[in-house]
Amino acid sequence: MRDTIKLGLTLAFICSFAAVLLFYVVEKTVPMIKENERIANELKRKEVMTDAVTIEPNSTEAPEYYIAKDASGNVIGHVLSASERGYGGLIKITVGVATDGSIRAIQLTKLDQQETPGLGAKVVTAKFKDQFKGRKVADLKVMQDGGHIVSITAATITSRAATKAVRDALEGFLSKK
Amino acid sequence: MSTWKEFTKGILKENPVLILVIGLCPALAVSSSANDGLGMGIASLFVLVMSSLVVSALRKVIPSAIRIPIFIIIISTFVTIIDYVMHAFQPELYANLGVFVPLIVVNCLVLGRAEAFASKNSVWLSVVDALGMGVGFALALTVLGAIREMLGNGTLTLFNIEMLNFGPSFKPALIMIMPPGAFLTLGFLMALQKRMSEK
Amino acid sequence: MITNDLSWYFILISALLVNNIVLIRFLALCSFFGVSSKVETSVGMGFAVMFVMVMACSMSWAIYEFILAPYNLEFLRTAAFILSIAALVQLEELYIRKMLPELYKQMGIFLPLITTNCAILGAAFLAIDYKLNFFNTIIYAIGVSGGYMIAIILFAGIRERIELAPVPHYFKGYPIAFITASLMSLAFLGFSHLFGL
Repeated sequence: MRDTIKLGLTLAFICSFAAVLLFYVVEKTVPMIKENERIANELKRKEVMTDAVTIEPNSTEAPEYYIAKDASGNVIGHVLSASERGYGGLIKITVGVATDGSIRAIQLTKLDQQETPGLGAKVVTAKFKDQFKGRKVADLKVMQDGGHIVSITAATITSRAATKAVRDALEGFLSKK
Repeated sequence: MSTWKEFTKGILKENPVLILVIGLCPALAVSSSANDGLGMGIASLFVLVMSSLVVSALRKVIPSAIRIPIFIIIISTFVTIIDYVMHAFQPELYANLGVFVPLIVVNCLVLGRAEAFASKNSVWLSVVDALGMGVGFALALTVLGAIREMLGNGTLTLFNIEMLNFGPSFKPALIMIMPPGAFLTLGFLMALQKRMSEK
Repeated sequence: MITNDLSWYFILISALLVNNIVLIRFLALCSFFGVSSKVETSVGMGFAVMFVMVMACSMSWAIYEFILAPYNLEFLRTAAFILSIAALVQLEELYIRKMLPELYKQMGIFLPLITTNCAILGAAFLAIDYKLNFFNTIIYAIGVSGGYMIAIILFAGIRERIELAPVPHYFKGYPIAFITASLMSLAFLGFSHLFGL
């Protein structure tokens, strides 16, 4: 009996020590992780709207899109978040839309996808992203499906998913507006 | 002399991946580039050294009946620490390594060293042993990653810096950075190691 | 990628073949190379893994859903999962030894090995990452362990043949086993994009 209590106490002591240590590390790192994400998202919004002076969410509570304005306060476009299931996971894309409903630019980094390295992961290259510039809803399909987006070699699922993400986000936004 | 031997045995004579054939899952899964392999190696090295240190320091107070659960608690604490620290400071590496960071906890290498070495030896020797094993593991992963990245992607990246780029005229063999390439490269590395040790 | 909006048989096929846990996702490799020299033992190992995996995944799903997530204790998940899996394996061993001695004779020796089988913990983590519901978690666990079983039984069959084949001296043992695994992995890559999975 005494042995059992001793075992229990040792275990409890080690567990509580581990819990305190972990709690400290989590307290320190979680704000950094959130801050990194916020900075990365802000940077992506700026990159798709290079000439905007302010990019503000449409509402403070549940922002659906962001409104980009120039120095004199004129709306020059909107920034949307798009996502779609790819081959390895969710592909998240930041889309900049001009006032005429065409795409100004799209942006995603290595952190926004989990596609196969060397194949689908090429979705983050400028070669793939730049093809979206100036496109309208009707063009936003891969070549095989009758659109204008050239698929990444040997990564049709990824290319289709990325294209669909942008198209759906744009369509949804235009129908609401 | 003997301390030096404890250190170097993990690097060549008892290399965890090439000779003992343990810790294979991360070795194969995250070695599609030298950078990821090195990152995984350093993360495992940290967990290995810290848990060996704590286990050997506490070896006289840990009751042998419940030593395995205690080892697991110690190891998983350090795994969680590296998990959060890497997420905060190296988000890109963290995304590449994915589920294999928390899975360091079941890397047979870590629990194996705690049970077979650290629970029986002094703190100093245990740390040296863990350092040797960890460096051997990290080296194996980096070499594996370097070979696969060069053949499969035509580049070599270490510490987030691109060291080598074979340029657009090089046609990479994609298969090398895909799953079959991992098994193939390790198979050939093991045969090479056997050839060298038997000479 | 697996989500809740896929129907159960797609989750099963994805886990069994397209994302085979051993040959594509690189989990459970230690036992894949360690316990695959005979077909008979690999069948035993396969069933033991399936048994533990289904129990472990449903248990860690419950721990995560009812304890860790509601109280913001996600950072304890690594410790909580591995400890509960270790305890589960111990309990199962005791139970089977007492109640089903026949089964214990066949499966018993594999059970202790399973605690450090990273496929169990890996599948538990992945099911949480994919945000699967309880039913899909069980389907996923069956698929993953079935995929493990397919891979290890096929591999053991090939290795039994290789024993008799003339292999270059330096490739005997592990090297040729890895090259065999490479070819199997190549074959399983053929399943990728099946049904768009």
